[in-house]
Amino acid sequence: MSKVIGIVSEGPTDYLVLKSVIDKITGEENRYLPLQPEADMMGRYGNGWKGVWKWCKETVPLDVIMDSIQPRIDVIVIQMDGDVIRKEKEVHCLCESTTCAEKGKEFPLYCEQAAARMCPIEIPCNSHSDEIEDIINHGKHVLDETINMPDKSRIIVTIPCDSTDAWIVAAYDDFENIEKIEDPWRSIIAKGKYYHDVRVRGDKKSINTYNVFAEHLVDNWDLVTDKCYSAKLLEQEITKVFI
Amino acid sequence: MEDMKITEISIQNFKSLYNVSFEPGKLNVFIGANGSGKSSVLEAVGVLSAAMTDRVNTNSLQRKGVRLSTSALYKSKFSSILKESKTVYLAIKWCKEENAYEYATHLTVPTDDDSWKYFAESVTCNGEKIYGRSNASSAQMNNKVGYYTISEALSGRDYVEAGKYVADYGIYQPDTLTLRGTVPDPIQVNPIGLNGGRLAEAMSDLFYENDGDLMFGSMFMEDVLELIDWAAEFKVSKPKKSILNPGVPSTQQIIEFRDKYLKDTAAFTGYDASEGALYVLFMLALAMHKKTPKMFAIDSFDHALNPRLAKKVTELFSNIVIQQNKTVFMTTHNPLVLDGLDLTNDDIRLFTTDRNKDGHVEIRRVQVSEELLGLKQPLSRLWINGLLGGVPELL
Repeated sequence: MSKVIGIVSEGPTDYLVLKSVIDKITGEENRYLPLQPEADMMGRYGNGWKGVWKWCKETVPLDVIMDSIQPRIDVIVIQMDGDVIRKEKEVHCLCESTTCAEKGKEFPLYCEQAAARMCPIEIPCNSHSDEIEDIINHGKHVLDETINMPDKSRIIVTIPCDSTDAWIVAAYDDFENIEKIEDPWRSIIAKGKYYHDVRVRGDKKSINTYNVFAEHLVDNWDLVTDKCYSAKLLEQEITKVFI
Repeated sequence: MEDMKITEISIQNFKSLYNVSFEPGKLNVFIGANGSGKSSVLEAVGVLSAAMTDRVNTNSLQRKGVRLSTSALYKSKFSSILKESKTVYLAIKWCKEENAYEYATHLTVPTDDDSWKYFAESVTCNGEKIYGRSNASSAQMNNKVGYYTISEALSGRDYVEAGKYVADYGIYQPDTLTLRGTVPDPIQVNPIGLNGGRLAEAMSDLFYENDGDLMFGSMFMEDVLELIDWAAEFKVSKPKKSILNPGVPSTQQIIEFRDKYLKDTAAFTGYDASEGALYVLFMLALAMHKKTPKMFAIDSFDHALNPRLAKKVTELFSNIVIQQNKTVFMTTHNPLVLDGLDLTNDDIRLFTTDRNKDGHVEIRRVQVSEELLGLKQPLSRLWINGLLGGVPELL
């Protein structure tokens, strides 16, 4: 039966991809709610990975919110790309190997040292390997720890590696270890004016382009889950909750 | 005696409303992204009102503020529909005391002239057919005229009352120039035009004194003035040189304001007043005037209102609408309007309009639990954050 699914994503193209993929996995036309954090007074944390993380921190109490509005929200899918684990210091703030006088004092996203680019964290973080499984586990751990909710069985965190664009590439091409290729948008999709006959407008991820990509992704989803562990994991978790 | 209450409206094959129904309260607020079908809902109710109590043609639709489309565009034209239905289906259910009534009609859109034709029309009471006709009926009937108000079978008190309740429905879209009195209202209905024409005349019926207090409809004048915080007084008078430049076109009666920061001699008219004040007076007059329709719509309720003022006006407006047993459908894009809605009151209902994968409009009632209300989460925030739906998906 069709469900109400909230999606907290880094951006609109991720939202579009997730919507199509979840419909494919569930075999239903579900209703989706694009959930967005409010930006602060300086326009920060309203989108991107920081927005997603902030949403997890500040949307409380999540269980009450999910159940208190009719139509009720059945599941919330939260997406943060794996490149965040690769590139951003803040998500390693609480890792075992991190040594910082400010550690644990403040929510890492709002740390003034990080904002002032004085963060002592070294990347890659010594607490994890660069294996896809470890990157995903750490990303899930960071968000899971932030979400203040006793029962998280209706929350699905997905960490596409290196980003949702890797799933698109996996649907079209046969690269080895596609999840390990950094920034597949720049390095593969947007390298030329066309990607598999689909017009790609410079560096801009347009909705129209992604509508075409999402359709192809869904048509080749089995291929994608064979190539991408992050996609397989999402499929398993969606199936567990829904079917 | 219990008032009649509309319990359900169903619409099929009208513009983007392929198959929707909803259960309205007295005050019904529709929120949704631009182009999500909010105005089409108001228009469908307009066609329904015309069909039930009159006939459907260019003239009757214009009087109700329904945008005139080409014949082809009145019907749903979704590419996903393989076999188009011939007719637009509209139905309304209501109850009165113990009885449940339904009026339903199938209409074909105009082809040779501007008249919609009745393919079928029926009225039931508690599930029993009281009146019905269809193209297959043997009786000679004019298929361009609705028979609800003509049929002998529907001359009973409850049917007449329901007909009157629905008949004067109009979609109000106040417009600043019309409210200022500088341009005539293209759709002047009594007592206030759909664009706000003759507001001054309608307002003049609402002033009276009660036990030493000056009243405006059911409100103390003092309370109305709190909404227009710069005004010391407003009244209806004749235009004169001292308050309105003779070069400015004017209506026979005008609204005259005094500003509390200006000298008493510096009165002025709606032409020079803040547009927000005119919109507030328009909304209040529409809700309170005895002769305004029992059922009506307002497209973009919040137009020209500061968010906090919009919230306050929403609170007052909804209370008056319920008191007066009116049924109002309105659209808004202002989150603060939602904060003026008391969703614990079942007469006040909030709906979202969204387009599904095929572009068909879906209407959903939003209800919020006591627990969440207790957490003081403003509806405006829940809406902006996407939790209620009714937002653009990809922005």
